[in-house]
Amino acid sequence: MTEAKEFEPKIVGFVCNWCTYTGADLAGVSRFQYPSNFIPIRVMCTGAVDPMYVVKAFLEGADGVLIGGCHPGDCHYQTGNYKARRRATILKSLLKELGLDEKRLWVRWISASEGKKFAETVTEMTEELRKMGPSKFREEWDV
Amino acid sequence: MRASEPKVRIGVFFCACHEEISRGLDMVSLRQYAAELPDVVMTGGCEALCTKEGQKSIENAINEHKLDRIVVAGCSPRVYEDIVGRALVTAGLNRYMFDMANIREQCVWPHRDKKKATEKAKLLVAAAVARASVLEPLHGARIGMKRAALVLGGGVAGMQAAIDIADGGNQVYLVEATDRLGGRTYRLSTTFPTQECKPDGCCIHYCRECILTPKLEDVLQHPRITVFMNSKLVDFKGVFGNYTAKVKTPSGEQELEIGVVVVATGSKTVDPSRLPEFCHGMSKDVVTFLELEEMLVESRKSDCELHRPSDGTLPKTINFIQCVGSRDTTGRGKAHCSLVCCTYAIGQAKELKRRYPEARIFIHYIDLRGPYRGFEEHYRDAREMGIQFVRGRVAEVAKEKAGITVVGEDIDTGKLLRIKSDLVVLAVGQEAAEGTEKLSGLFRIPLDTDGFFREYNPAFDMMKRKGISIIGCAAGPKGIRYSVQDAKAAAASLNEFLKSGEVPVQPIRAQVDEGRCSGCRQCESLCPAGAIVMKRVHDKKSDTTRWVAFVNPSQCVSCGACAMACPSKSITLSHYKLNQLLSQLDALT
Repeated sequence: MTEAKEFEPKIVGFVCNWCTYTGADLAGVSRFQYPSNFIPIRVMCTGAVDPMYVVKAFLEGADGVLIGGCHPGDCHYQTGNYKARRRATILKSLLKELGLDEKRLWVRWISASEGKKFAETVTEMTEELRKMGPSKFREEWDV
Repeated sequence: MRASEPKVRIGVFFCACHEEISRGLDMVSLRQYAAELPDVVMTGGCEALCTKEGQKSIENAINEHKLDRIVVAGCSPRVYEDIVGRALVTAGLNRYMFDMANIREQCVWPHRDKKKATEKAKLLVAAAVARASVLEPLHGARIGMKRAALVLGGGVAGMQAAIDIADGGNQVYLVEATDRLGGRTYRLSTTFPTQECKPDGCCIHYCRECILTPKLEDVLQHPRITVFMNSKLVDFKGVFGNYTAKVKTPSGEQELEIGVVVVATGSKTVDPSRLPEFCHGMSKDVVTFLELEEMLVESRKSDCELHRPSDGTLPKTINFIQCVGSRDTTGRGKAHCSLVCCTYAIGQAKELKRRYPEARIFIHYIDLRGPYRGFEEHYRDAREMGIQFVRGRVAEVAKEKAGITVVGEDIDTGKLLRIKSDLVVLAVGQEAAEGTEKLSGLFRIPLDTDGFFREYNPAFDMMKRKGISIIGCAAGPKGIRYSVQDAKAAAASLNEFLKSGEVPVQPIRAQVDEGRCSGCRQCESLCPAGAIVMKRVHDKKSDTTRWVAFVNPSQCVSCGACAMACPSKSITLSHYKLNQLLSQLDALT
């Protein structure tokens, strides 16, 4: 572990193919800089993000998880992001039971045209997680 | 973890993207890292993999190293996915047996620190390799379709679509809600861009007698068009290519078997009584533009003079008020611009000025908008004829004993105006037609915030809309020219399907493991496309029947909502299966 240096959190993002993944591409095309701590995993829709994926990501040592989808009302499949939102709310309360801070799970709506917002979100999330320190699982299991 | 599965052979290819990627990453260490990943048998690189040479190098490597799947580290899969797929097919593999690591858009470009970017690139490649190793070949399909189309709405757009589809050799059912074809266009006396009749044989007077009437006859006399007047769509079921529409006609309900649908239900004009300050309905001399058109059409039958509705005299001062119910932020009208009103108001003003050169004609506008070819000339012409354009919103149309007065403002001069008026014409805006919401439910096509059908995004192909085209004003206010263009474009793309008699079924879709499905029906209610239905299957072992979910492949939109919700995980979304996602998470640690 490189505790002496600044803590580098590991963030896993479940991003939807139509909005946030495309927004992340736009951030790159526009050369907006953001911390390299974020690893995207492309899904078709945030409505298909199983809470199991999120928990698994935490168990595998992620310090934070971002679920990124289309703005409410803009879902490519009409209501997938509403499903994701409801699920995330419940999941957050379950994370507490697991002993994880619910603030480690972020749900954000970032459209395909919001490259700037994507870069800002990742930057902000990285900074927040730096303040929070490594996740409990990471510390205990040294994964 | 995969010990029991057969060994896979992965090749990893790195694209330098003309140094776009290679200059920001430590390519040597990245390639070394990739070579040591499980199942990777070779790594390759190229200046630009999207070029013909790059494709060839992938194809050669597949043959030489007997690869059964590959990983491409380069640009975004959104850019390059199809091209990689093509290379795989040429080399004899299934076109879905690859994954891409997006090391350009989501690594090199947003991360200038070479060391950090290389570290992230390694993770992205590792995740892609992990996913690639558990990918499965996918196969699309084609299913037969009904070679018939349903056209809803017999306005200019609907008629044009019906003619074009029928000319393509297909049966068309045209359903019109009223007792007359032609829609709103039928009520217009003349249309933009010219209002003149040239007696020398080259008439450019696009009025309904010459333009619309022949088209109407084309529709009515076409051997492959069946027209249902005074009819309505009441139910709609089925899958792309094989829909069943129930149409209520005066002579009873009809069931139509169709493959594709054209929605040309148009728009309706805003009812000006919602905006009482304009006095419509309170004074006979305040008319909407459509009522003025009808007066002009009527006048052709008698003396060709425009008589005031109240007392029959000829109007001397005429005020046109723009944006009635359009660009309205008070919530009583519509927030959008109705696009065509500036054009027709100028046309009507010109027509009146031509008839009555002595008359004073004012057009009260907020902005003049007419991004059409010929509009600028149209407008300049009107100014030269002496029509006065006044910028500013009209506060009210006051009904007084002596007549009606338009109270407003000229914001260019800052003067308040009170103009005694003989006739006031309201340029009422357009809003979504009656019943649009119900159709949206039947077709499962969402509406936009303005209440119209959400516009068809040309970035997605027709398949995404399941052969249902929204054309003309049903997709927002539009001029006649553009509605007809819409119709022709929709007919051309639908004719593609109808000609082949088959519709494609895309390979990435939800699949049910019937043995495990308990028939709980959770997925059924979650599916945004209505693709899941319950069916009865026979269980051989116990010789009983039970209900299981069935995904209609041609209806599935591949969102994965069902797979997520399935308690027994017996529905999976191919290409995004549980193990394919979790393998990526495994690789990240």
